[in-house]
Amino acid sequence: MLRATLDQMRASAGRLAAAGIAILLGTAFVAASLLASATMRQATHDAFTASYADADLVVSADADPLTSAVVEDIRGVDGVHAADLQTYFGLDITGAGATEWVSISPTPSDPSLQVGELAEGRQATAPGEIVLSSDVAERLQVSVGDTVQTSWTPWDPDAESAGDPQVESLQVVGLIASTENFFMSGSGGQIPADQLEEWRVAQNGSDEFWGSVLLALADDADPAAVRTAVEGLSTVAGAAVQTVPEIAEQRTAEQTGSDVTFLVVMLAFAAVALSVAGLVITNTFQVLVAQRTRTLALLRCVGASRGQIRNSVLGEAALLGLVASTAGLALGAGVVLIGVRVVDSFFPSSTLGSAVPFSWTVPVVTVGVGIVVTLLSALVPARMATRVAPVAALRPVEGPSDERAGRGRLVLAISATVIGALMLAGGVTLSLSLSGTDAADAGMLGGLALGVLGGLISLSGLLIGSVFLMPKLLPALGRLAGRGIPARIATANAVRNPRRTAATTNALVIGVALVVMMSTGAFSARQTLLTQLDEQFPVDVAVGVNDRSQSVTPAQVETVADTEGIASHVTLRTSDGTLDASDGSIGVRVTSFAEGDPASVLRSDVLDGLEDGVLLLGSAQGLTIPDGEMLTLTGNDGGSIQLRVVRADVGSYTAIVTPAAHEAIAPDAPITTVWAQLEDGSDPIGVIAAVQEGLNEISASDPEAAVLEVGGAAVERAAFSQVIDTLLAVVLGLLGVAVVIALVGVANTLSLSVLERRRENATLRAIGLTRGQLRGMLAVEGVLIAAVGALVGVVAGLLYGWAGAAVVLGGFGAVELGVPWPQLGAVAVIALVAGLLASVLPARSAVRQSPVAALATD
Amino acid sequence: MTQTLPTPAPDHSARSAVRAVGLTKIYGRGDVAVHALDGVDVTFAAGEFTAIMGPSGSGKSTLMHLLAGLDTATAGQAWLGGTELTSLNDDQLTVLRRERVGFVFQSFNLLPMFTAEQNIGLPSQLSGAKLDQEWNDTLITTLGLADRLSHKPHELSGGQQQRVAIARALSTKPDVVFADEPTGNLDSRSGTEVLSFLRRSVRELGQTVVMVTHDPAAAAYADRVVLLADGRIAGSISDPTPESVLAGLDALRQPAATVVG
Repeated sequence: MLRATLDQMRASAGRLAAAGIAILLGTAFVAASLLASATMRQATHDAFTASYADADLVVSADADPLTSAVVEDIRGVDGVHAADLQTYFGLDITGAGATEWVSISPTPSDPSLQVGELAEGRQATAPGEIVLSSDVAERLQVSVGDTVQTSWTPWDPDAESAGDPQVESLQVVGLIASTENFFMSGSGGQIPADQLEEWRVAQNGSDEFWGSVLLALADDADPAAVRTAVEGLSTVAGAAVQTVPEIAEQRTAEQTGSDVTFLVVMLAFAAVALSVAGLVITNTFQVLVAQRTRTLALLRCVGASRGQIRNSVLGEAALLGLVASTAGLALGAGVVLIGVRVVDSFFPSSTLGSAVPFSWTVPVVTVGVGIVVTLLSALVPARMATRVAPVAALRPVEGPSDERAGRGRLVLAISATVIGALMLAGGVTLSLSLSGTDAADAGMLGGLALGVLGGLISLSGLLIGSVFLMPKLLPALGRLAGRGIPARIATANAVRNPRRTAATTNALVIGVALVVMMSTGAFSARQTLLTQLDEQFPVDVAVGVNDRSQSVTPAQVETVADTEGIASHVTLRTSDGTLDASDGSIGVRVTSFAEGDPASVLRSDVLDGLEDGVLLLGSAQGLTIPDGEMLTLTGNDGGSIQLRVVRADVGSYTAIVTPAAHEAIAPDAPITTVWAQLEDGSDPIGVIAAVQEGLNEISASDPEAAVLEVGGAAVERAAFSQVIDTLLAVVLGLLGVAVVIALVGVANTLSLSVLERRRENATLRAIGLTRGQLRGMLAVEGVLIAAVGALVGVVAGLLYGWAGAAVVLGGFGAVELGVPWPQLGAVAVIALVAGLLASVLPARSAVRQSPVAALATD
Repeated sequence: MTQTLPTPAPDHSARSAVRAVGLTKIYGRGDVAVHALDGVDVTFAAGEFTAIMGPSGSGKSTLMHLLAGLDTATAGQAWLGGTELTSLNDDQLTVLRRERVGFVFQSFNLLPMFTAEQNIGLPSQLSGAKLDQEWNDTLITTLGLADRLSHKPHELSGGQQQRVAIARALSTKPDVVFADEPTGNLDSRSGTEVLSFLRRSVRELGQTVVMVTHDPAAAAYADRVVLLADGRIAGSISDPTPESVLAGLDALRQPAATVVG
């Protein structure tokens, strides 16, 4: 029987290859998900391990903070070769080109405790010396031998405001190679340990810290004994003493929550791809069994039992599953390996490549899943094969008669669809009704759970019911294909075997519905959140002084205004003022517009209430100032004015007044800010960079000019859009695999039709159907099946997408439901073109069939 | 080769619907080559009901396929009226079959998803021509299908299906109708009925029918029987009766038996 199985497989290699591709793509997904997840875990583990250098033991603050004294105590323990504090100290470092906030750590006392590698120069050993990580040095534009300014502010418990910054010049004596590990340790530089301790204590006002101490043991020390001795130290009480592997294990486990989420999401995509592949395989094996009816019957005639026939089909499926999923394993692993290479080449500090682990789990699970899915999918066709009666060998091949689906199925389909839809609606209602209340989060999660469940149930109902739905929809769509006889025959053919057509379209419905759902959800999310951004960050670009004693020079304003991509700008004057309310007075930043039309730069209507005699007041803690109250605003040079308060979302302690009012209380208020709006379609990141560059040039030529900070929502808006678009592209790519698999299924179904309708097609050819018309007929059938699947998928996907957006985004305010026309268009075009392509091969074999041969009564 | 060489057929194309000149069909090459047809010269007159008979493997189906433009000849010529078929390409042959040839098959070959009426209208719809309603009504009345038009094939008996097939074949008023064992799948009563309809379509409606059969009783309905053996014309019987046809067939078997023996 095995020989017969193998011979049959060889004979149907082409068709098996199509089904194999479906399984290959699905299992590649599984392999890639598992491997990528394991790689991320390993990389996290490696990074933690490396951040403790070659330390033998690590003492980490746990219940209580550690103090500086702990280091000396530990160094005194017998068998300890070296011990270093691992603390971080944050400070501003100014180099030739820029200032950056950097977190630095102490110079290690022993090479084994050095995190990262010294790339150039030497360690910082004396006060006044500093070692920088090479990427920080690059950004600051300094190299070994240069001097940098450091600045940090000591803690003074008595001072009312922050004290004077401590500024020092340090010489760069060495560079540490930046690696991802070094980055993860959080350190951008090193200074001698004593100096770091001194600064740290001065900055914090205490020598307590929540860091850790790294220990290196002497070569002949007994680790267990040292560990016990260290744990016995009074200064170590309340701290954890662990080896590096123990810590890495623990920290990785803490980190793994997100890895598991990633794995679950990826495997969900894999499950989608595999279910679609399963439907396709079922169809393929049905084609194969139909094709071999005569052979199977002959085998039965010469004595093969039903069991042998069934095992032959299942054996074929198992073998196909084995081969295809092995190829899928190779593809998935290849994708991960290439992906890791790409990441490593984009981020020189990344060392993911060395973190790809090998374990038996990935191949075993991947191939196992592939074989099981293939076998399950082949069960129905295998049963079909056992039903082939031996006498079938003696009869001409006829297509199967129509199988009518039962009433029970209809009831099940309708009730599942309706119940699922109701649950979905319930989920949306729950989330929307609770949004804005304290229970909003719970409402969102509950709504999401209910909605997802409802979505799954209604989709199942739809898929079960497609046997009834598709034969209704197909003729309607078929009318669009024209009144010509080939189109009419194609339409009639497409509904002849409702079960098979339904199975084929279901595969497509799943893929398309998910693609459209994600597109719609992402589209609505972007619309909704961009509206939110408009309200929260109404200004695209804001350029302003940090130090309010300084002002923006006209040259700087001009630079901003003249930058390409800036559509309009306004300047703002600011002065300090005091607002006297009935229950006390508060300091506010009085702001007014100097030149330009505020409406031309603002994306929200927040300033609509501004008019003479009005003060727009943002939030101010501690005071209850109702809308409409008349209050006195006093400028810092004594002038005051009575204004009516209008509460508006303009930023805390900000009071916006008209230029006239501002003139009355602070005529000398300087220009402190420029707001600008970008031209539509301009690249925000590029424009902001250009603005920054222009301002840098002014700073270079005019040392007196204030250093301006460039901000605003444009970059956030763009970054936000980009994140959604990127995620969407990835998700669509992943789901696209399912659609591709489904289209392989359309081709298979058409092949089966061609096979079963040999005689009919031959008759049509004999009575006058041209080859072109026959091709057209099959093309229409393919397009119709693809189109009906895409149509149902699009409608379902839109509804699911909207429901999902309403549930998840309801808490963010009004949800803007949109239709992602470009994506829908793409889905429609792909489905139609693919339906057309799917008909090419079956049509070729149909056209080649000589009418004479097919008509011969055999 | 004692057979006389084919003489140029006398030109009576005004009266001939279908004509073969030196028609040859060889399957395979070299040692395994099979001469299914070996230089056949035959003429089927318009307005006549002709039966082609011969033992299995005599080439009668091949001859019909070549004359109907369903298959291509290895050598020789086939004429349908004034059109020479062997020079036509597949699309031209398809259009020719659609407009000028009708087919009746042994297993009816109706499209199962269409009603009887839709099946009858199929050839004219394929060519985009308007159905001749008067002619169509005549056919339906003659064939007794008036109350069966909205039925699908599986709701019809074998004889009814074959009558629908005959109506389909005649619906375009073709130059010739080829019937391939039209009674092969029918009981004798339905078979008789179908043969009577074919003869009526010739006698009363002026059609031309060429029928392939191996049943002498069926062949006796024809005006003339052409006998075929080993790919060659072996004779012809005018105004046949079952007895005369059987006798003709018996005569054919004698030399064949010698060859086999």
